[in-house]
Amino acid sequence: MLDIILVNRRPIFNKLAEAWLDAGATFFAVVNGGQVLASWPDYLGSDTADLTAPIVVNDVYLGELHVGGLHSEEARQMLAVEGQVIEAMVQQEQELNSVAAVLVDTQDQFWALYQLTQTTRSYLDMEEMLEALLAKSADLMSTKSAFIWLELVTGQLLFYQHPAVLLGKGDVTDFLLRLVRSKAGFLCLREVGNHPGIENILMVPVDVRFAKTAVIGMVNKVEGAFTTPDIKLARIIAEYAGAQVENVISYQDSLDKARLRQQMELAERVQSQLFSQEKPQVPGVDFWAASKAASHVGGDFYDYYLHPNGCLTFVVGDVSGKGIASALLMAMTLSVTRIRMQRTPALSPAQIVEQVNSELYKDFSRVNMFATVFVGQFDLANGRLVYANAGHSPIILCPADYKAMFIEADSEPMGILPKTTATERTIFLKSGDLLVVGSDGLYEVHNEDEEMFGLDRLATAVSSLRTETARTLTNKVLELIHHFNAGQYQEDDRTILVLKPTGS
Amino acid sequence: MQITARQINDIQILELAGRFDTATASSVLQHIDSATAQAPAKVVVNLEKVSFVDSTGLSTLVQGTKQSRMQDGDLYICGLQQPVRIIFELTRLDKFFEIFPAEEDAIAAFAL
Repeated sequence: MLDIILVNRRPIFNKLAEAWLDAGATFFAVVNGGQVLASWPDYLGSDTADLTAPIVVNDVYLGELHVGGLHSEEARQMLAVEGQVIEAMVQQEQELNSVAAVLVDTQDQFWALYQLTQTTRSYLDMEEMLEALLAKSADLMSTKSAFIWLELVTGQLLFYQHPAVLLGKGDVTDFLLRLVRSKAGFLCLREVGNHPGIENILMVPVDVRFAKTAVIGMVNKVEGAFTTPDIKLARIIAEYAGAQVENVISYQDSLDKARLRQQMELAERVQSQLFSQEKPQVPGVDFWAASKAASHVGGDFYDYYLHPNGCLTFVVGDVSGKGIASALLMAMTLSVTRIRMQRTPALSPAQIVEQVNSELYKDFSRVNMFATVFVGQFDLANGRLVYANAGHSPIILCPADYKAMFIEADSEPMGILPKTTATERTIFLKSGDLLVVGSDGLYEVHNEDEEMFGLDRLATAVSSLRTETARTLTNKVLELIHHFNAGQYQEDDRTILVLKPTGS
Repeated sequence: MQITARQINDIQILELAGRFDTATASSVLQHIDSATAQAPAKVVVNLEKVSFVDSTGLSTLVQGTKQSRMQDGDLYICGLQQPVRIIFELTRLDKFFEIFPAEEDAIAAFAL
């Protein structure tokens, strides 16, 4: 160390030497044992040194100052003071070196942390990200291995270790217990005991929103034991690991949601194709139908079939509940009903209701659902409408010369009783009359004041639109309800089927 | 929705308050399941404070009734407000359920 000081602070030594020589000294030298480190002018030998002052720093002997040709007490004291000044310089240099070493280490760690963030941020797969993170962490902490243990709220356990596999689940469970008991908020074991292959371990908690338990750990330090800076660094790694884990989970979550949305959109397209696509062009009848599901898919349905015998058979149904479960059962109910509607010779509406109920009762019961259904059969030749109404509403009849009225249900919905007896009724429709078959989503609609649209308002609306074409009436009623419900969540599917005899 | 479960002799009373719809039906079903776990399952569902029932609510009551009848009992409904009564009538489920004006009527009916 003294030799370094002599190089770094040479001018100071030159000044000291000059002062001694001016004061009459024959030489000034810095020696270490038998070795002369520096001398002004030539060193004349230790036996010619009249004054000496040791240089001792932290109890370590570093060398001596020698002066020849002077003997006074004053000069001796002066040399002793200069020795102490040099001791202070050495000490300062040592501290400076030590700070520089820490700074270099810190810089190394920052660089490694930077690499850690750069490496792991490019991974969106949890396993790949964690492996990269653990590899870098082990590197950064100079350990044989690093591990992460994440028990997610979903019950899933993510346990990875890299590059060396040193721990079993039992080991981690034991360490977790010890971490819980530790008051320090981390676990640092210099001697592990009873865990073969594990020499030492440092474990810190990881803060992850989606996890019940989350820790990251470093196992088997390559040299020495874990130090306080190691614990600080491990905490920084843990903080970063927590943020990365949350990022990957959020990304996977949004990916899953996007996939689900895609599937739902596909289901919506498939479902819209289930409904009859072409409205029947039947002379003497203006006919239209539309359905708007509350979510992508719904439980409402409609269908119609122009039988060769000149009867237009139509159905409007509503499977209880909402969403995918209703939609699946709706698809089944629609296809079973359609087969009955298209049978030759034509089945009556009551027969259709009874047969579909018998066929689907067990399926409905198994999932605790039911379906309300209105089946009508309109004879184009004489305007006779035969219908069966199994728990369905609303059905609004607007005779040309009378106020709007509701047609009530006669039997319970399908899926309630194993055998149902549907009542069949007959009415006659003439030109100018209007029949609207809807679903409960047309009137169980609430506005922002929690006021329900209701049956009366619906009947008034239908009545005021009675001279419109079936298609315009359909659209205007749906629009009106949409506006009533503006800004609110659509609670239920909305279906409307309009039948208007035109007489020509 | 608020659900209050009480017992009078061997009759389980479920008192509901609020909207009985898709969002709340599953918690009602849990109560019905426990009320119908043992035979004879005698259940009264008091809808006096219920303002609205949708099709999922109705399905839940249908299921509860079927479960009760399978357990040598029944599920009686009481206290329908006018808007709720209309929903039962529109679907004709008023024919399927045993409906009573008040809770004491439903309880008395079990004694018959």
